[in-house]
Amino acid sequence: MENPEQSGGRGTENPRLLDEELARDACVAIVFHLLSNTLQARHIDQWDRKRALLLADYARRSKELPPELQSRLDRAVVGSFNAEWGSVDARDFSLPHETNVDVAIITVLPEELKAALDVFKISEQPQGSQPFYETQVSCQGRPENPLDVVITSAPRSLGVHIGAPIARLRNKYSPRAVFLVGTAAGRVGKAQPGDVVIAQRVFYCESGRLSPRGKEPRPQWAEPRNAYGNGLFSYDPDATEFHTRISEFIGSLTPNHRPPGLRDDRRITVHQANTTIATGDIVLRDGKYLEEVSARFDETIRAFDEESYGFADSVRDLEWAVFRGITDLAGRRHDDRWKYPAAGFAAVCLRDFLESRYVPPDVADL
Amino acid sequence: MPGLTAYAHYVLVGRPGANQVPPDRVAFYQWLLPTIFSANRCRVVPKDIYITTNEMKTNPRVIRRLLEHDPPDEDGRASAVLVDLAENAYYLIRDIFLFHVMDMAQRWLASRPKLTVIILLPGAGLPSPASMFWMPLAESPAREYAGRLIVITNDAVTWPSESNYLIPRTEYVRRRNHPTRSLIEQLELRMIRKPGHYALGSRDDPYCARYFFETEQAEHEIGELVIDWVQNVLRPSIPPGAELTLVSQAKQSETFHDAIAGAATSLDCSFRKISDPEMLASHDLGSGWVAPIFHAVNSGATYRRIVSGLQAVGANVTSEALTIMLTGHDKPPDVNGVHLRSLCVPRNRERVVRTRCDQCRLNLPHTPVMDEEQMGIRAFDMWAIFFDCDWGREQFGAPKKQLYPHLPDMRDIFSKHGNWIAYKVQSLLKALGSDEEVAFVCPEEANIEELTLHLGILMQNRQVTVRVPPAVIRGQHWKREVIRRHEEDWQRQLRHLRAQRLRSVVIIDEFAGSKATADGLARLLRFFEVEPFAYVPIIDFSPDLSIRGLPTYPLYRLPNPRVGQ
Repeated sequence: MENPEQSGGRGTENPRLLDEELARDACVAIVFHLLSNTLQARHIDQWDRKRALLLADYARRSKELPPELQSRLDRAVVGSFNAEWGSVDARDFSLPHETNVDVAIITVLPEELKAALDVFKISEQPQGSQPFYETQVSCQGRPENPLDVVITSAPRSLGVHIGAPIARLRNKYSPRAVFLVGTAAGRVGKAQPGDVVIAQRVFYCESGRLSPRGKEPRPQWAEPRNAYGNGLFSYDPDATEFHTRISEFIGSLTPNHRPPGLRDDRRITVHQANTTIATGDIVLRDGKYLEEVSARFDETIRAFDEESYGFADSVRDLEWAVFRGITDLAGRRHDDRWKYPAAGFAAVCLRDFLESRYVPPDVADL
Repeated sequence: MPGLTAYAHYVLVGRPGANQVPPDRVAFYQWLLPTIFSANRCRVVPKDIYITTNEMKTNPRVIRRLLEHDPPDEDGRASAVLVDLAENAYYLIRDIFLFHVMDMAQRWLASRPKLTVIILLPGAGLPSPASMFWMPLAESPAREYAGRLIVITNDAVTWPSESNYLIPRTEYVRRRNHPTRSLIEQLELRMIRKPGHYALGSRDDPYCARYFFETEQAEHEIGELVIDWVQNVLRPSIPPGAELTLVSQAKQSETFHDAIAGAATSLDCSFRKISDPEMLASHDLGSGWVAPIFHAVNSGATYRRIVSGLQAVGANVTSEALTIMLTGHDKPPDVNGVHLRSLCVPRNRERVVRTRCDQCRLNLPHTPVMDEEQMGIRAFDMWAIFFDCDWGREQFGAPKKQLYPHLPDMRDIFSKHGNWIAYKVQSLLKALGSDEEVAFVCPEEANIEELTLHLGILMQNRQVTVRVPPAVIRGQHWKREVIRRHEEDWQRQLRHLRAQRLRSVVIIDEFAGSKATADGLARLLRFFEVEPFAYVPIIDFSPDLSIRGLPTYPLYRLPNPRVGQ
């Protein structure tokens, strides 16, 4: 029974909760043990108690399963009570191999999701829970099969809130590569509103320790396993259809999404070589902070956001990259009208990359 | 400084000696003391002291009685007392015991103005600032004893650091006594059997292994054992003065290569690292002798390829090669006259060909060998462990009516998988940004004490463990208990933690049923003005219940909350 003193507060936020094993792996393993040990159970009363715990474990985790897998495993769980199931091999309930999608895209703000859906030509449907939108795009790196793409969104900003939607995305689609698409603040003198920053290196600048002398920083970096970025290394937006696509996108902007000074022929700068995104949970009102952090730790920083490290940490075993459109400069006045177009530029850039230079991991592995 | 007398106390914990200090240890003192004091003549008076593990556990202040005879005054002449704890496994020595040793040293120094005290400690590196070992220093005018108190660890790190110049580090490590057998025991103790789903083997012979044996935490022991092997086995078998190259082979362990490289430096040998046997021809091995050293030998195929490959490129391979462990069924036969020596007893990885692997058939992903990507325990491993251990009624941890009637025996689990679970806890804390200096606070109960023992093994006792009596945690009149037990060790430790402002104070427990224990411990810590950093129950039976202001990071969540409250 819950102690009234034991609720709320910092304890309710547990950023590692979603660092658990994927629900589909856990549930298949639990069902495997349930069926394997049912066959060997000798002492019925002791087995009943163990089984009750197994079922409690399964019940908690199976909520995250895709419906088709959940119903298959549910049938196995119910069937385990049937004495005639002795001949059933637990491994018949293994995970299907064919659940992977090629690419998943995650956004955070509603404007970012809308921009990504518009660029990938998906008509938005209102959804009550976490939305998932599926589509396909062509890919020169694998011309025989278009890429299966799924787009989803986190409900709130900040790195600690991005783990849950990514876990649900991974449980449902097992993506081979994940891209974070959206907006960021640029570093003064290094980026302009409307620029796109592609980063495979994320710098988490807020970790540290509090000592009597003040805060001693202990920064952390995250990078994906494949330093060549499955084609990102050789992606050159000036050699593809990128600028044409950008012109089309700007031309399609409605007046309320068009910030002052954004011309139809605006040539977008893409920062991609040796580029780092700094990330933290603070909102940048003071531009000096980013400059100090860059000067002290990493001169390759081009932008700052609030989610990239949480994102990178949640997908560290997959291929990933961050595509950010710049809305404003750190410490300068914020203009909300840049949100949609900046996110759209980042999404255009990602789509252009996927279609022109992306090499899917299943091709790269061959 | 002629005619110095040194009283050397050789302290053994848990294993009685032969009622005398071993002659090689006395010889070590006879080298060390004149080195420190620049004395031509030094009279060593050795004495052995035996402490049982039970005394260490229940009465650590016994060392006061055993050392109680103050050193003779020596008529105002300079003298020394050496307290030698260095021959013991560090996990056997409790923090509070170290407090009493240092306290005695302070008393001696205060009463004998010409006395110097030297304390030899086991393990690598000095105790953390949070250790109570340092507490008497803070409470006494330590400056008055400047230069009269020296602490030396087994890797020749000294306190104060200015004493470093007195002790030649390499010489110290070489001369101190380290019987091969105890080093192997240390290596085996620090080896971690990690359950998982490991893709091993080669392209031609792919297989899965249920376990991986990690030696990352035993780099120091591996280096020492290799030095022993080269000095006692290889050197006598090759011409005097001949060049020797140590060649290390390991696919999955970078720290293993580091250990061999370190040994090569100490031995003044060359070093080559070979990760891929196919690349042998590209290594310049010089004209001397080559000694192959393997992290693990399974079927023997890689061993055969390396030895015959080295010989094929013209290397003079030593008559014996070394492996840290054998993981196959049989020891491979000699290859072209080269015999394979294994340091550890055979380790079973439960290898299975990939087509017959249950986890492959379930399509469970392979476990990375190098990093601990999965912070928690996988369901496959947790339930395999549960089905392999004893089950029974919960023995303690809650009022009688609330005890669980049927649970896995956590002490059995910790005794079989303690190193791995401790490793998981350590990795989790690292990922959470904890400092290297950690203090664990737990109830004084047998199960969790078994786990803290394994944490001590992995962390070389650099962590501090505070065991709090259950009556203080859960009793209604806990404040009264705190006042009544003012002199108990755990209170001293908490006061010391407060003074140290240690950041990484972690509440740890075998499992969380209602989280009342963690809540009580957090309340107690705050009473002592110590803010807990995290609560780590190994299994969280109440994942939906949180504690105000204290994040919970279990290794496994399984809904089974305690009832009857």
